[in-house]
Amino acid sequence: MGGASKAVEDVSRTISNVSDIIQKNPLPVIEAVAIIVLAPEVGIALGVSEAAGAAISSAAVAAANGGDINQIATSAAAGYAGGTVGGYAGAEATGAGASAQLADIAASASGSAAKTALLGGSPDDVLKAAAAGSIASEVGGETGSKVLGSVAGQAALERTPEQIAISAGTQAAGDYLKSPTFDTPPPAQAPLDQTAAEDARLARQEASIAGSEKGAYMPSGSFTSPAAEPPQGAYLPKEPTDKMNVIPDRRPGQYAYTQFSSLPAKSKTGGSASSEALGLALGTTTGLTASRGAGEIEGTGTGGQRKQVWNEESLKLKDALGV
Amino acid sequence: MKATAQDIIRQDVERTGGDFNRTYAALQQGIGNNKMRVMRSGNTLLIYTIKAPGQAEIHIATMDSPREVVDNVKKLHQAMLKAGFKKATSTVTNPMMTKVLDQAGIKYRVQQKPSVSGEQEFAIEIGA
Repeated sequence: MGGASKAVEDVSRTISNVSDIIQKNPLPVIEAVAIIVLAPEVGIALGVSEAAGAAISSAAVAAANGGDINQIATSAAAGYAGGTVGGYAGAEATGAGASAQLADIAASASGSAAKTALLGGSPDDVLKAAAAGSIASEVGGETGSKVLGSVAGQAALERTPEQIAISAGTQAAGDYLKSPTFDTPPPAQAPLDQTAAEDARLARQEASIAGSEKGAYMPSGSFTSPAAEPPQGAYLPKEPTDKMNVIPDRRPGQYAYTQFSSLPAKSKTGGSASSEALGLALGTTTGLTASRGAGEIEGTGTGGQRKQVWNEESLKLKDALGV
Repeated sequence: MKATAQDIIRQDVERTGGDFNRTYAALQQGIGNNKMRVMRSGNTLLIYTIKAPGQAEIHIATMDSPREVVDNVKKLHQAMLKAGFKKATSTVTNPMMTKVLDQAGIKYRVQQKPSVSGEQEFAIEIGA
């Protein structure tokens, strides 16, 4: 009898052990929704961070293709922790549908986490590690600081979600205050100095004049040399037409006239017109030597050849000029 | 109500007269060796063996109602396609499976052949 009952006891013990194993080792299951729905862009809509959504989706795909089964637990935990801790960090609350789907994934992950624990890591480790990655991306994304993200992620390895959130917030504030913008206050803007502005304007004007062909101290007006002046009659027809010149029914005693009344008047002094204008523009006088050589004495108006004459007037002038 | 994966497998195995514990142990070993996977949608499980990259031999176990099965099989098919699987084969004795695939809009090829035990089997091949 002992043999049969012992065999039954052995079978019973074995079945009991198998049941225990089954209870303690639920099957790791891949949620189809993790692959279908949790694409990165959809993950955002569900309230999961983009990084967490991408991690879940890619890990589930890898697992479906025979990749490391621990990734299922890790990725699902990342999605759950990312959503939860992201909520602590101030992310928008997830909708009811999103929460339900995350709960599904997390529920299947809890079984996987048990298996992960058997393989050497505790579910807590998996959650913390997943939260670290998730927090790093969450905080880094929100503050634009990779360093801060990694610090927050490192902190996640050792702290609870609440502590992580507080730490992340503190670090964020510290990073903000330590930014170069606030280290050195911006210089106070100098009051508007009209004198300085006027000086600058004049300097610019001088520089532009100096760079021009007219010379540094020439006025910028329409001062042209005779050579550059348009030729006389440039605006006149080359040959006056009959209509212009002739009154058709001209009677005797009537004069012909043209419509072109005046031409630019020439200065009587010939080429000195430009010199006069130059003098006026420069504000200087042409002096005694403007139209004759130094030391020469103007003629007395006889029109004859000037003669070398020594007289008192010429001597005074020579002394004055130092000739 | 959501059933556990164990419950779904147990019901499926017991319906066909199999040994749940042995099946479960084998399933765990296959998953541990990265040769088998279980994918879930609702109360329908897609249990498959990875034969080659992109190729799988599948088995469907469910506790869903017929209407829910169609919807969940459709989702599982989408998930497999997104996971990169191109070809899936299955051998079933119940021709109901083909009707589910029809209603889910999944294209397949089926070949009827006698099994070793003399029953009729349906070899189903689902392509991408």
